[in-house]
Amino acid sequence: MSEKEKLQRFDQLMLRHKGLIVKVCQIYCRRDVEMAHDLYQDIAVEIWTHLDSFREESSEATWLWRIAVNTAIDKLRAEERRPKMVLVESLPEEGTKERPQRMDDLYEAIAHLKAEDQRLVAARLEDRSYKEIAAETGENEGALRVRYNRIVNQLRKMLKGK
Amino acid sequence: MKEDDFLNEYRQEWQQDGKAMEKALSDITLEQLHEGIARHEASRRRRWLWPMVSAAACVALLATFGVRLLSPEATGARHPAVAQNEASQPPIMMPTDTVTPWADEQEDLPTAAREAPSAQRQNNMAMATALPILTEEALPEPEVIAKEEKVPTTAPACPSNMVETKRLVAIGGSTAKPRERETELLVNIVPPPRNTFHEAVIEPLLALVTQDLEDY
Repeated sequence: MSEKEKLQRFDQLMLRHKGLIVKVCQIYCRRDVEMAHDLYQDIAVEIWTHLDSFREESSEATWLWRIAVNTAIDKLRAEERRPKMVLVESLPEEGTKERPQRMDDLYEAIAHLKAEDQRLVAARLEDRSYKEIAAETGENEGALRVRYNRIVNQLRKMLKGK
Repeated sequence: MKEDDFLNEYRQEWQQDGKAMEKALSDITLEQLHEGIARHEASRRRRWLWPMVSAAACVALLATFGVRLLSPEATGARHPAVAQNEASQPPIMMPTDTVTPWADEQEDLPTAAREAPSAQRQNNMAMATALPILTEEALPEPEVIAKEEKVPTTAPACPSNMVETKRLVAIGGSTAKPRERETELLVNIVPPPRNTFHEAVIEPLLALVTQDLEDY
């Protein structure tokens, strides 16, 4: 693949699957827009780096989701290793309520799922039908239902423990 | 479905967060992504640059000092060119007309080999019989050769009448010691390794590094 072809392919991928990358940013960055920007760039770089090795054994969306999730996990790990500086001004004032803790708990629980399971939960939370998801992932609708029920039970246990 | 009911309470907020994130990331353009990729590629190349420079420096040091340490003067070893030169000299044959040189060996040889000596042996035999018997009286007087002769120069390039050393190297009959002959040969045969190395390796590498640094 020449450099020009690679660039064209990259642009197509990024335009076609922007929604998937945004979802990964939402799961891993929650409402941190600055971090989401960085993550989006990092995911783009990883897609560019691995574009030559994409053999189309899985669908584009599955491959891209996996890369995005792995990049997000690596980034979070790197952020955890970095010493954090919290400015006094940025701390929440007393009496003000932070965003509901339960949503943060949900994001954290979803982030602990496998990449494929995360994608399924995100799609279901977006009100997408099993038929649509099956068409996108190439999986059987029945199998998707069974897997989704298993994931929901897993999430329920994780959230109850909070 | 029961499981879906469990996630229903999160659904609305999830979708709100999703819309907010989509809006926040909508300003990212493909051009910005291309720039990010270019920066990443540049930093990746820079990461390779310094190990390359270090490796080149190590090779240069090794070549400079290694050549000196392994030189024949340092190790006392004979240079291959000298050894080859000596090997190409014809062997000194001891003249004899009474004893066949291979007489003792013949006893161990099979009958066929004893009856028909090899072409090499026939050649050796012919050379041995052709040489005269050398006695002390028959030996020629050694040539008297000036090893080093100081010749005053009158060339205009040396106004202070400096003394130029003229070295006369005798061919085939030098009275110089073997060690000195080796040195003379080495001086004449072996090209200066440092200059060659610099031209072949160091200069292209330095050019590459300079070009790469200029690019960034």
